[in-house]
Amino acid sequence: MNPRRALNATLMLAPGVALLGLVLVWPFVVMGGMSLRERFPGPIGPSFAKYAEFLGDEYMLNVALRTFSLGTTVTLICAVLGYPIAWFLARSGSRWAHLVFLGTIFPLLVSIVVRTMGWTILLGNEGLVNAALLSLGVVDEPLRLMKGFWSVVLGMVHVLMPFMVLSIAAVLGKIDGAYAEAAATLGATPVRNFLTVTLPLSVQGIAAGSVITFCLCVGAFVTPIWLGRGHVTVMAIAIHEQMVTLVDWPGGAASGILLSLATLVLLGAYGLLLRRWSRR
Amino acid sequence: MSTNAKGVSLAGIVKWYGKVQAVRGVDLDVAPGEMVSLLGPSGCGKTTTLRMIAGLEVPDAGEIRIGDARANDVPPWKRNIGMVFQNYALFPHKTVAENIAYGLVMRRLPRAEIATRVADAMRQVQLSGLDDRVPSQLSGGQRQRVALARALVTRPDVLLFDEPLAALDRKLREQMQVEIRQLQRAVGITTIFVTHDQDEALTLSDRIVVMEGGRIVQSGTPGEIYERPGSHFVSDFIGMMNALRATVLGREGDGRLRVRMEPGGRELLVTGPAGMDAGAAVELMLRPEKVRLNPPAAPGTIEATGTVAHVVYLGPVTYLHVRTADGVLIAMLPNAEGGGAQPRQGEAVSIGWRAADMVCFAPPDDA
Amino acid sequence: MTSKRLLSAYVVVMMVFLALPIAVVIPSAFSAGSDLSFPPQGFSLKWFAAILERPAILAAAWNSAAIAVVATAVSLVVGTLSAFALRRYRFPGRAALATLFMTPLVFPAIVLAAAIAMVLAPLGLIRTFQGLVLAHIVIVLPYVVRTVSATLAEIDKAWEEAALTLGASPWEGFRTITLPLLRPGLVAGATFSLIISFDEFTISLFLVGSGMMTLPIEMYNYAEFSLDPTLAAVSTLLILLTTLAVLAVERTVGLGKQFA
Repeated sequence: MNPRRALNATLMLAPGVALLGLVLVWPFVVMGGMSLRERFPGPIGPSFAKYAEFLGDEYMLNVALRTFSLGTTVTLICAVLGYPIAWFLARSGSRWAHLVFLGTIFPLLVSIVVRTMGWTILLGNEGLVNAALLSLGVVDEPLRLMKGFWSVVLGMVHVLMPFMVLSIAAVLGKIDGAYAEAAATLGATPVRNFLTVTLPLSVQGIAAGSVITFCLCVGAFVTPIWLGRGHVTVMAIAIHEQMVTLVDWPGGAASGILLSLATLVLLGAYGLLLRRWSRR
Repeated sequence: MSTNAKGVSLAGIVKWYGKVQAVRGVDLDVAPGEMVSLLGPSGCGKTTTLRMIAGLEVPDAGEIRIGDARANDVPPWKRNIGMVFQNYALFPHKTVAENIAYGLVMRRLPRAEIATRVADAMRQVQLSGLDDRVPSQLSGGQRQRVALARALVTRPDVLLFDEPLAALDRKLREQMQVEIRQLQRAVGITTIFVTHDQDEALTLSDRIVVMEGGRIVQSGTPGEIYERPGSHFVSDFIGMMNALRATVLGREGDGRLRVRMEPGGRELLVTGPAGMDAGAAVELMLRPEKVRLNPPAAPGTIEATGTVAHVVYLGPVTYLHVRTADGVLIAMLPNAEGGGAQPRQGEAVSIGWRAADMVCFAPPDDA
Repeated sequence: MTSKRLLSAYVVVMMVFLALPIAVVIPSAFSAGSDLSFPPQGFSLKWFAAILERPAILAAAWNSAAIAVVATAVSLVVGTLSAFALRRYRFPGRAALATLFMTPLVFPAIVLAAAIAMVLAPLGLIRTFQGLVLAHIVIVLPYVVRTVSATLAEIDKAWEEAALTLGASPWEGFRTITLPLLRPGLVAGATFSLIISFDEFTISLFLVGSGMMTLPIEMYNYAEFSLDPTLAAVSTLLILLTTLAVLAVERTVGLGKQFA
């Protein structure tokens, strides 16, 4: 690149990089420093006491495990439920596809507080579902639908579905329809055709959607705290507790760093996978 | 219109892309009003050379002159050039009239003059009445004409074309070639045309410049390039050829080379380049249309007999692949009278050609 | 064609699943009763009127709107410049930088929120408008970079070059060719940015406080002590606003290309 173009590029990137440096990278570094203290206020050790505390604390390990299983469950459900929608968007050629697209992204754009309130109205003791079940005589007293792991799963699937659907649809839309036609002329039944041609070709979309869904799910705070009502403590909630309720900033920072690192490692591994795919 | 056409001259132009040397020392002089084609396969440096003339790329070494002035440091918007891009690059958000007017608006001409000149340009390329269409509503040929009008309406010193006809189907392409040539002659503008299509270069140019691997390998009129190619690469790139192997026996007093053909052992005299010593392997190039069936006996005519190995019927012409003692030769025969009367596969035939139609050069490296 | 029918039926069911938790809020806002039970009792507009008697909610709404507008304006300029540099130039570290710009999208929000608070606290920017704006810029920047970048990919470089050969300086070329063609991406990016910032909850959590509340957090706090239909009324207004914004973008530039 000649010097003038290099200068242009630098000047154009400068404000964005400065902002990200100040409000993303630098805070992360400061938090890393915080996690190496034994108490706050107090000196930066460096001490790994808070990390050791985390790894030796059964409560925190349970929280981590719960967060991981929530992420896995939600990701799996989103992939299975989302794939047909993505197929409809990318492949059906339906004139409703556009409306379905809007319907898919709309939840993403509606305030998380609104969505969560909707779930309360649906699932609460006096909510729509219980009212229906009671009037049909299926149950005698309202079911406790809120406050559980599965109510959080439901809420998270609802929030994260658009990411999965859009990722898969983007890849499905790029697969040449001639492949499936070729397989059909070679004698593949529709089911075998899908399993041997289209599904393997769309794996990249599923992978992209799964990574983003999983990352967003393990980092989620509002939905678990509202739909779990204190009964589904995930990492984000535990970090908030440590910092705000227990005022243990170094401990919260250590937990936060561990959660971030897990996310970044997953993203990094995915990046390597992408590079391998692009070389094929 | 543009009567004060300017010439373009390139001297020692070099361009690197990272570690790849895309252009390796190009020297080229284009006379005022001349139409020159840069012809070569993709990756030969022709488009990069054109983009450096336009100012869209900056050469790493060498000098570009437009008219009498050094242009290296002049940015494209001050070069007063017109360029027709591959796929036309018509502004999708502007109408036909706005597209054509763009260069005039940038030159801050009075509104009334812009209107007149746009109308004139549209009439010239037969687009009148399409002012308010947008590019997506036009056919390929119409887009081509808009791009041409947009490039010409500013009365540039030089007109540049970057493979502008590649996207058109064959018939339309041939029609546009003729239109561009006529328009260029009428305006008298210096024109440089990049293409990988030999027919296009032959149809359009006063002069063809053949490029390979970032260098100019031959420059000449279409006739010279076709009839007297200087290398295997040029003759192979432009048209079909019979490539026959031979060994140099020696040089005659008149400068011609005495060669012996392999196989067959036939000896003949051909004109050849300097620096061919006895014993050197050479290639003899013969265009298929120079080979005749049942040739009349005449001095300088070489005759051979053989059998027809393969027949390719192409409508206006038929290609016969004839196996002779000198190797397989392809003959192109016109299907003029009645057609269908050509020899069949397996038939014995007699063919002939003039030694003067053979061109001699070094064989390709990979042989 | 039964499989096609089956797929369509499935998609309809999923659309209902996605829409239901949002739609169900609306009837509750018009309830005459005083709790969020379903079906709502009677019809009344009193909960909309009740919003006006909650100055805390009004103040928070005003703060959120102002933060969203400023954060969007800044990230529109910064994001467009960055997207341009990342798309139009090739330089070492470009891929890594592009990833950095997308990081806030997937980074655990609560961690980022706490980390930002740790940096802004010593600067006296906690519980300030400026502090919230800074944090929100980082959150919405990826959306702007992404939409602009996607639009930029559709803008053929040859158009800009054609402008240059026709006598336009780079700035004139940008103003007359690139910018108008970029408009759909800018409109979509700005809309997403406004909505995301206005609805942002977690990132603001450590940065708000008495005197500087955002609407989502104020609503959350309100719900902690009273789950009456006032919140449903606010939510209904938010749904209405979002729908109008989405439809407006859809009508002017089309959403599909900018988001995918």
